[in-house]
Amino acid sequence: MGRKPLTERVDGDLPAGIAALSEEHRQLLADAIGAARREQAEALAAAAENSLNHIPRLLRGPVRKAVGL
Amino acid sequence: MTASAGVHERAEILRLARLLNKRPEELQFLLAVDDADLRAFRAQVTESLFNAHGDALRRLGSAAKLLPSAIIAKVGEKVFGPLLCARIAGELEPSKATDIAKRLSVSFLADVAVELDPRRAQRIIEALPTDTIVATSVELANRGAWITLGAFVGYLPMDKLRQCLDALSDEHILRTAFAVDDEDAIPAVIDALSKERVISLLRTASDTGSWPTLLDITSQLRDDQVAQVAGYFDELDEPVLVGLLAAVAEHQLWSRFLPIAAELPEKSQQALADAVGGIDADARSECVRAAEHAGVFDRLGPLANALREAVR
Repeated sequence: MGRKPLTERVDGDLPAGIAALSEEHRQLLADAIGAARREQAEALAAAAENSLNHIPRLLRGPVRKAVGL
Repeated sequence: MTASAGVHERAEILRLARLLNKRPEELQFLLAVDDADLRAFRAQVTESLFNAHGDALRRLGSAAKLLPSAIIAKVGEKVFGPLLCARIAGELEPSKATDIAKRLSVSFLADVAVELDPRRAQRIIEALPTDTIVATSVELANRGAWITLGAFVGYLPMDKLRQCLDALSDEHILRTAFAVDDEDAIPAVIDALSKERVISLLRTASDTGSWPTLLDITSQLRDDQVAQVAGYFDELDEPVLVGLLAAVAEHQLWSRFLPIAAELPEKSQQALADAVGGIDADARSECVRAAEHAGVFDRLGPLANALREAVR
């Protein structure tokens, strides 16, 4: 998968001081945002599934529906 | 100062490092970027992370409405963890969030606070019981989480702010002052402090070498607060004032200090005048230039006379 540039990781124009950074440093920031988003997505997926084990059986159906599982 | 030490002096870089899960040293290249640009970029990154999985977070928030608070608290602490709880918090009704928070350990609440964007959780912060907020603040201070504490300062109602300040030590408050995110909130902090506490903070700033942090804050004070705080210097001993003058000279903080110096009681201005000989000639000249530029030279009393003599 290609690495997204910083301009595609955030909305709007980059502040001048950030835009003036070297391409290497802007990419480091873009990759860090990508990694943080991936970590969040993985945590969400795992949490939605694992949380059902801690919920009373009677409530699992409605919760599954609300979470979209 | 080395570059690696320099990043720890820049609260905006520390905030961004925390958000991006990086060590501050990895972001040394940001030292060249000014705070306004870093703040604007941090807002963009925060939006990107909080909006990234908005639908999934909203669905989890909806599911939370179906469950008793005790179960959500258990699932939150055992399964979701602090990052997800912080992201979902903004999707919960304040009354539900408060009911859940009451069932969480202070240690876990502190973990969540580290990940929380206070702007998105303001209604919850306002609704939380004061003792929960105070206990979490103390836990964060004991962990040295100044950046997190500093982020919440502008979002606490006055009664909660006052009780948090009462519970924190002088050193905790001075360290948090370095990291206050919303500098417009500083006047409210001063309003929340008693005269005795401000004097105690001034003495602690002297003991811990924190004058630069404290003087940095003074630029945010209202005019009436500058005069009020200057009046408290009357209670400080001469060695404290001598140390203050030396710190101002060393860190070139004249533009921050002189508006206060102009409001000082004559006794304090005299103590500074007596100490002027202890700072080097360049610093004295810089002080005179800054005082004339700020239009306060004639209000420095005995200090102005001593400076005139010294630079003649």
